[in-house]
Amino acid sequence: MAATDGAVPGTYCAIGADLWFRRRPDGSYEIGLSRAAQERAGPISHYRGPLVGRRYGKGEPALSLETEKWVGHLPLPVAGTVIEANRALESDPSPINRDSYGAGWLYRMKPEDSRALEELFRNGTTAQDSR
Amino acid sequence: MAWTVANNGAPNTLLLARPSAPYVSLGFHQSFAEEIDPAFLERRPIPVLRRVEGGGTTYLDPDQQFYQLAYREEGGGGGGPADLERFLRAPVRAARALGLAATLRPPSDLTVGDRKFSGNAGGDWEGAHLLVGGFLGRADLVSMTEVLRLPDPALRPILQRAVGRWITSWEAETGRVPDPEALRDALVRAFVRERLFRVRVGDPSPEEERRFRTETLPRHADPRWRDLPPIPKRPGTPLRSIRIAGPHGMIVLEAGSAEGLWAAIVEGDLLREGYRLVPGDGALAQPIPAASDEAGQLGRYLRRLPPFR
Repeated sequence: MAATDGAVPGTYCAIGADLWFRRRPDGSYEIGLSRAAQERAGPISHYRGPLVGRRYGKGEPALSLETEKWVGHLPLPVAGTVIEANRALESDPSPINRDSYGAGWLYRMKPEDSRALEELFRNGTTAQDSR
Repeated sequence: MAWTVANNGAPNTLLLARPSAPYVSLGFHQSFAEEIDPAFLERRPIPVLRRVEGGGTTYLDPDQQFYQLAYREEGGGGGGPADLERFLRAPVRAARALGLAATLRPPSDLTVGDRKFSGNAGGDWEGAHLLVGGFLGRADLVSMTEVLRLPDPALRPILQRAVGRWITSWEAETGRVPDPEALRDALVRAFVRERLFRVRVGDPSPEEERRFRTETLPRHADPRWRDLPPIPKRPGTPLRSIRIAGPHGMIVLEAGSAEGLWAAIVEGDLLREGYRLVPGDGALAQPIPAASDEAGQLGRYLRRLPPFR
């Protein structure tokens, strides 16, 4: 999946090594876990999503992922409001491992400054690097 | 403790504790009604406390020694599963110093031979990293299994046999439960000898005491917290799956059909024993021959389960 511009809808852009984002036609952003991150974590047994409608600060823990022996809180990469959590993952988190760039998306958000997300992409690895 | 280590200036902290009385610990994602056998609580009305994160149901009592570590990255580790192996060197060393032939079975079980006597897990919480674990001084296998609600009484002896096969304890291995003070000293010395931390004895900070008083105790006193509703299950989810001892055992029960319930004991990814149970007649727990069609169906079903590690 080529991704040279974080603003192109339908492409996946890496945020560091652990997250990706994809801009949606309505201007919101879909966030997910990179393949490298989910492989490092192992099978994820529980997903507890962020609160929809809540504003989170940059770096503020927003959702919880659990494996058999580890639990981690994922922070939002930039400040913004969560507009949708992937509730289907609460009863079946397996898409995070099986389809991390598709059905395994974690949440959708409206950043306060979308350029901040794009900057994270430009300063990080490319999508090809992380897939 | 994690919050004060991450945000309130508390040093990296090793907490050593043991229960003052038996209780049951429920994982955050579990359902009290689905997990706990009401008959057990009628016989033994002990507290059931829901954790703020996940994992399975465990029975805990004063014969168990807990160690819990909260640390920041500076002077600690980077967090993540890789830290488990690093920090678990200390409890392995402590157990060996007191005569137990302990080894780490990755990712996080401590075993003697192939039997587990210590379960451990880690996490990132409130900005701090965590390692939590404990030693089984004496394993009350009856209580550990009787507390669990099962869909058929015929499964109880199957579960008890499986737990007895995969769990051990200090008493079972050495003939005695270790002195609590000696165990605590050995743990502290081991963390120092492994050069993981310099240790100085301290008390909980006023902020830790305040949050325990105002947040932890009220939460556990609130029946709404204990009785949180279960997460809706997707179609095809097993009725109950019980992970007994990390990578060496799991019992999976599938929801009943006209033919009854299926139960399986899994070792690693392999089906070790299969059973078919007839609802309403607990005496009928029929082993499924490995070559039968039923065992084949059970094998196909198990392959649909997430990887077992």
